[in-house]
Amino acid sequence: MAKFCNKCGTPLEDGKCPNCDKEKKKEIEPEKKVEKKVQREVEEQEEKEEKSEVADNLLSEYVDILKGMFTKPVSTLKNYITEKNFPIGIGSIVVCAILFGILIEVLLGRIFNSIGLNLSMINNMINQINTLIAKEGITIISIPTLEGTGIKLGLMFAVASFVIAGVIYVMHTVIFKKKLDFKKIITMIGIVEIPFSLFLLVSIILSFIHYALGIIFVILAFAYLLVQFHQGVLAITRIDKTKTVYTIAVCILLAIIAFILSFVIIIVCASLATLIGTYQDTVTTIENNWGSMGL
Amino acid sequence: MAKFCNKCGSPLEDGKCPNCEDTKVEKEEIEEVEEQDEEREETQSEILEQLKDIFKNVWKNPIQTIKKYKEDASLAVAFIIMAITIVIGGIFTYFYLGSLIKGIINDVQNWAMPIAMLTGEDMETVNTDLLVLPFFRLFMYGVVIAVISYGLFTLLSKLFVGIIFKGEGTLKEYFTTISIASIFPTAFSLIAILLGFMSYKLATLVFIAGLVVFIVITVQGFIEALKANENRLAISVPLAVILTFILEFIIIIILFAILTINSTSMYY
Repeated sequence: MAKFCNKCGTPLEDGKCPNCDKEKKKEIEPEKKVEKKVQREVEEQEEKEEKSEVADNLLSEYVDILKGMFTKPVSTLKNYITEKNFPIGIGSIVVCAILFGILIEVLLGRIFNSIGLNLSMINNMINQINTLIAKEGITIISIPTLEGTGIKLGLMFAVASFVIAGVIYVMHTVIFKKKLDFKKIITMIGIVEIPFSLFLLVSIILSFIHYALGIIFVILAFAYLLVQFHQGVLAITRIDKTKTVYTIAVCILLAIIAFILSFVIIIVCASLATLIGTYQDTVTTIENNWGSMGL
Repeated sequence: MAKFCNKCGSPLEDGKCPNCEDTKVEKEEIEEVEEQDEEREETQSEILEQLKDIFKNVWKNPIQTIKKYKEDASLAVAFIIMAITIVIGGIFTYFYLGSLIKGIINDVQNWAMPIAMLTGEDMETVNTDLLVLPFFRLFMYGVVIAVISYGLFTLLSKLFVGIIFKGEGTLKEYFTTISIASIFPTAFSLIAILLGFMSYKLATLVFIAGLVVFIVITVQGFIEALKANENRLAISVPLAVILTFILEFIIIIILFAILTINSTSMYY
């Protein structure tokens, strides 16, 4: 058995030359690296294609659900409430929450624009009043500002969706002792909110014409959402439909409370704006009348 | 041919005995009245039985109860339930308005107190316990509002769910469904009356909860008992509910205006 390398004469270690094998490795490594790089690139490309395919699929399914919820809501709910569509459900809840927040911001802005004010001016005024009150040493009252109302209410919308899902889950598993997948509930809520997203978009557009139009439309859309939610719960439930009535009632009550809480701010602001607007109109009319009389 | 009656010996007229025939007619009449009385008693006990059954089972199985009685129940049963709902609606209006007015006055006073401190002014407070509201007038307002609400909701549900979006069910079936479902807001109103003595906010919450349960049960009743077009339910039900509120609001304003004009003209 050879003890020395027949190329460089170095003593062999475990039958291999430490010098010549290193060089060999060095020669092979760049080749391997190139191969690996190419392979990685191919894999990345495939992954990207897969991802875009999935995104395309999700988008096309989103559009299909949107169409289906208007034409055949019951069969659409039954067909699409699956674990596979969980990402669509989550996505829809997020989209809806964002649009809801935007609608609130737009409505507040339009309400105060109608009387020649803007949101930042109102917030400054409230801050000044709060400072004045605090200076007097009164800590019992502090007027809440309207800063970030859209973000807060958008978040509240998303949280309310998850809380409602939680209530359905608890009612099924704890009270009625029937198994129900939480992901399925989230998917159902997300799917039900898909047409509501479109309605929110329409409300935002209508608010630019007049804020009252936006408010009326979103109230109608909310009633539509509640009935579809009712049908959604009926589609996923595994308990006797009579017992579902109470689960649905609790969830709808929660949804209505959340909706009323968010719209109290809008209604209060709209009432204030109407009062100030009427006052401004009256003052202008009186001034004009006095002017025409030469006073 | 016989010329005299073989029972009483009276001369026959056109081959018939005037005495015996009269007795026969009288007997038949008495029998008929007795039968009618029996039928009425039977119907009354039947109505009572149906009412008992409905009030007993509606809590556990509301939809089954609606399904069972939408055809079988006599219209009288539906009307009796609706009458109870309307009367309790009137009582609720009196107590709820009392609690609401007192609660709001107290809240405003609590809010105004720090502002008065800020401006350095003395504030006179109102003792809400001394407030007395007219029972009969508020009760009647409540009754009128309840009649208009349930009447309009029944008609509009039949129009949108039944006629326009092609559901099944007669007007009577819609009325029966809604009157059975109205047991829930009635019960919630009674609880709200009690809670109103503690907090008007709690009373409001319970009252809204009653309305929600009513609408949910009505909708499910439409789906399961009246075979409503489920694909159009998200349009038909909101239309019926929202139009009921709008029309009710308009009717109440018109009634209020008429009452005000009448009382003003009487004053002059």
